[in-house]
Amino acid sequence: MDPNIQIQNLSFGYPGKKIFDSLTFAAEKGRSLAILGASGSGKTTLLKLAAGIIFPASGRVLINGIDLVQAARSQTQAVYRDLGFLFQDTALIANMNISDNLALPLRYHGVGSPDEIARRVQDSLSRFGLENYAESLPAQISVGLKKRAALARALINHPRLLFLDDPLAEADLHFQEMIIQIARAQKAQGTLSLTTTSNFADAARLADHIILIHQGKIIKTGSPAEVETAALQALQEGQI
Amino acid sequence: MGKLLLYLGQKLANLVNYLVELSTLWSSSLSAFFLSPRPERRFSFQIMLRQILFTGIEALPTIGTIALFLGVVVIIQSLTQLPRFGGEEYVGKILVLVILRELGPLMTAFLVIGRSGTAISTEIGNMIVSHEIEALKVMGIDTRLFLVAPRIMGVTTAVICLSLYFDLIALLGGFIVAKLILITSFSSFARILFSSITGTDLIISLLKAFLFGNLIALVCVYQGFSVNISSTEVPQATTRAMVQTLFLVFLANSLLTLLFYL
Repeated sequence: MDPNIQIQNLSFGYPGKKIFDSLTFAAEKGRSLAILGASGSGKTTLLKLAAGIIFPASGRVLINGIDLVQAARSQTQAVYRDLGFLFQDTALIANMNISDNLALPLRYHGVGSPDEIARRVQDSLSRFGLENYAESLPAQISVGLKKRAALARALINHPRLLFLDDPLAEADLHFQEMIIQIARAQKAQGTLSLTTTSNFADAARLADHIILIHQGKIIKTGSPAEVETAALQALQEGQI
Repeated sequence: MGKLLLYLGQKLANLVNYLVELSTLWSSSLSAFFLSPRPERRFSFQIMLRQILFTGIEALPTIGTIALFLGVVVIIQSLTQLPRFGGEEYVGKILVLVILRELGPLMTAFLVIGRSGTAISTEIGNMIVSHEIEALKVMGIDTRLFLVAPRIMGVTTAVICLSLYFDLIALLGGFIVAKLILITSFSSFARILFSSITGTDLIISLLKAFLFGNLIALVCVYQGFSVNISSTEVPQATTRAMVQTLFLVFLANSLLTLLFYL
């Protein structure tokens, strides 16, 4: 099955605070989608809902046709083997070195022999310029290197679904360029990507389709040009 | 009086509810381990070995030293005081009861709580704060296999082995040191000791160690997972883990001792 995501009438909130109310959108193979919104608008929460990390109060999230809330463990495992997620704060496992962090999903799922896993990890370390930090713990390297390691881990399984949480925030120019190149390459391979950002220019660089959210609702979806026009109009009218 | 009974009833209900939650965590994690596909189980097993290394092997010097000091005190007091009251024949039984049945498992549990239990709840709490648990989830890694089951099995195995090690050092090592001031021969001490040890004593000692190991791992993992988002919650969860584990270990020890004397 080609990768796809469907968000249907999704509502979510915390006690006394509604975050999303009846959000609906969908994306399929080869689509790069950016969720654009101001800081605190719930972009990361929406990305986590879409990835099944947290569950909605109502509505459904389907990844590759599978409802992660109700699916059997084997089905959710199959979805997650096909999904890469870059966390804003990297979320590398603190007591594992960079090499082990990269190998973790491969070892856990028994993807290939130990030699094969070692080769894939080595290739990934080389690709992201991390060869000299393979034995370092995350706490021993800079934020920029941690971001690269987190990206390498997100891509090591060759995912067909890629979730990027504000990947360009606080990133150096080299990493920004790397992310944009990777996003383009992944799109060319048919990967479905979902990115969050609060910067319109970043959204336009990373995605071909933007979802503009404000106060828990979708204001506009469309191409970067369409969303830019709608956003400017909404700003002038004081809607956002 | 009515209010007091209501208060005590609520406390008891909370305790029962808490124990049910711990049992659910225990059974779901161990069943996940035994029912998981081979690569995942092997991965979980490797983490368990690392837990045994940290909780068991690396704790040997500390536990050995404390066992030795405690053994010396108990052996000197028993061998010098009991004969004054005509209780020579009870020396062996007292040593077995005090060290093998009570102090061995209990002291081992205290040391493991302080050393490994706190480390477990702190580690898991920090993993939640830094979104590592979320990262595990999107990698398709079952936290029961990655964090819970290896800790339950690893800590339990370590506590059982450490408890036996504690008994050995306390009884034999303690006697060797005590020999510096006592006239009792080793053969006579060994005869007194081994003639007093029964299968029941060993079973009770091992049963306690098994139960304490499970309780330590479970409560500390549970409290680690109780952290929500803030790093300030981590030390609070660790303190809760320590206090609750101590309470449950004391409770379990008393109940087991009571059970075997009834």
